[in-house]
Amino acid sequence: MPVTMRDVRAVLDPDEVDYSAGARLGPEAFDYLLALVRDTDPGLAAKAAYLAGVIRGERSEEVVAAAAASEDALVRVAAASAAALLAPASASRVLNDLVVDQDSGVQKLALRSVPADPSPELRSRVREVSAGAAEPGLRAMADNVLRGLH
Amino acid sequence: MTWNSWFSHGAPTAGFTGGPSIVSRNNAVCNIYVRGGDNALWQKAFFNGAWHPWGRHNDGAVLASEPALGSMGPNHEHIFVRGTDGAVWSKAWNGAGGWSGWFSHAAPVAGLTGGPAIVSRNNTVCNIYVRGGDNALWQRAFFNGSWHPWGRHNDGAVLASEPALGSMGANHEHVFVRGTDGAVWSKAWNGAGGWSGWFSHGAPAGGMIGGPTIVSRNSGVCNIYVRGTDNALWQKAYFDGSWHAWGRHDDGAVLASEPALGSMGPSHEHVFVRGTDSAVWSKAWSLVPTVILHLKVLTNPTSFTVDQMVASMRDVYASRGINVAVGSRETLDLPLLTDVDVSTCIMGTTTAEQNQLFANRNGVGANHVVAYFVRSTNPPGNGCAAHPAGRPGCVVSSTSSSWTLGHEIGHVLGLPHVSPSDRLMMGNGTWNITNPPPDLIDTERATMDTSPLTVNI
Repeated sequence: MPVTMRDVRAVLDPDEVDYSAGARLGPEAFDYLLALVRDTDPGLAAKAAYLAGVIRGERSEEVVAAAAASEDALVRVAAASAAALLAPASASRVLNDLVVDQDSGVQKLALRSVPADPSPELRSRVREVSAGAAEPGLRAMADNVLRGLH
Repeated sequence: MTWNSWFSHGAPTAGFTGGPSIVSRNNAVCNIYVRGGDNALWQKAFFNGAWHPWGRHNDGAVLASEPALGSMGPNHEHIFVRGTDGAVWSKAWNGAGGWSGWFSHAAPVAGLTGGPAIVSRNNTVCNIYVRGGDNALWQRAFFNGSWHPWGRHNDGAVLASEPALGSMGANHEHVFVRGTDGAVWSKAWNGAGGWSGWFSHGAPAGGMIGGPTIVSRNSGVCNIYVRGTDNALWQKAYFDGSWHAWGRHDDGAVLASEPALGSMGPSHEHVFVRGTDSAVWSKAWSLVPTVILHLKVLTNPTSFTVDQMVASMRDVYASRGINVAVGSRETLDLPLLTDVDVSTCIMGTTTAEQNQLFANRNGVGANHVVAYFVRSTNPPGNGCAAHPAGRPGCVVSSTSSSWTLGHEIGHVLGLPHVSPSDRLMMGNGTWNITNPPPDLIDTERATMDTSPLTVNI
């Protein structure tokens, strides 16, 4: 049975989403997830972005990157979180801007998703946060991230 | 504690004069007495869990006042009235012995204005108080097994109403009256300390009609009720060791008499009045299962206000008789927790961030529930009810529906997901609820009621 938007919404509509069960939708869900990320409902867009990461397919990065470009910080938070589920190179690309996002919540999730072997550019931006973030908690998180890098 | 709706008790076939009087000799019985339109005594009784029809006391008595009622034990009640001779008369009921005959207590030498009032602070004492013809307070006491002569309270008080009486203990009684200044005044007797001086309780904004009435449902509480000049019920309460401000009962009731008060237990009181339809009406205040909810806002929701969410929750819970009381509201400035990690959001399992967030109870009681309004959960969801042990609560995301709060608290109280889309606990997303307001069913109500987080207050 082909995956439909109805199937995708059935996964994402619950108040508490079961993302493990949603992963079974597979790559066929990406078009719908991308549409939802670009939709105006930030709640659904955030859920769609995260599910795209959980599915771990070739188009995961595309959907998560679209969420990372959202004007809504709540959607960027989801993208930052979903980046942890991407391959390291994909994660680095998505996180480059998110780790220095103007929103501290986005930064927090982005720092948490930095892969152990990030791109040089991402590594440099984590150093920026460590050195200059206004929020002490973020500086501490960035320090921790740097200590764990290969 | 919550007031129920006004309930009509009808009226005697002969109608009645003035307002009702009531007495509960124990927690299972309540009797309404009125002076009928035929000046006979009429009675309507509550026992065996139900109200019974009005009945006439066919003993030939002709009442010249509304009755005053009291009890000196769980199987005793007595009725005092002014007779056509200007004296106070009484008769008593004591279970197996049935009703006694009427007995005259005569009257103060100054005579009396209006009818008598009585109080028994314990099972061996009864005091009749009246407003004398000289507007002083007069008293006749029963103690040591016999009635004693009328005595005048020579304290200078000038009464502008009949007295209202009550007791807050076996060695305490107090007298409330309307003063000539239109305020409610009281004084108390407490055994060895004797009588206090008179103390003013002021009056409702706009004043009142007639005199005060009082009730103490237990030894720590006293409520004064009056008929305001706007014909609404007004109340002034004593609890937690002090008197509180007058408040209006904004329930639309229009009183046509002074209220009559009673209690059927330490957590119950009820108010009886004559309505504009000349029937007796009552409403009761009693313990209600209540969820005490504390609101802690990190980020305000975007589609509904917090107040709207609480109102939606209250609507659904009230439909099953469960009250939602907001215990407190607080803004939390925790920018790194407003996108809170909830992981798989499974009851009994919490993340470090949930533990950190839920540590911000800030004095909330152990059996109270806290709702933390955050921007988002990670992974994204509308809410999550998983909470650390001993810190009951939930998180609600900024993108949640108006029902999410009630839904998540439902989980906290022990409710699982269900399939029907017209139920609060539907698992397919409260944005998709089909017949708002959504339902709670009997078994869910029972689960909520047995939760230690649903408290009777």
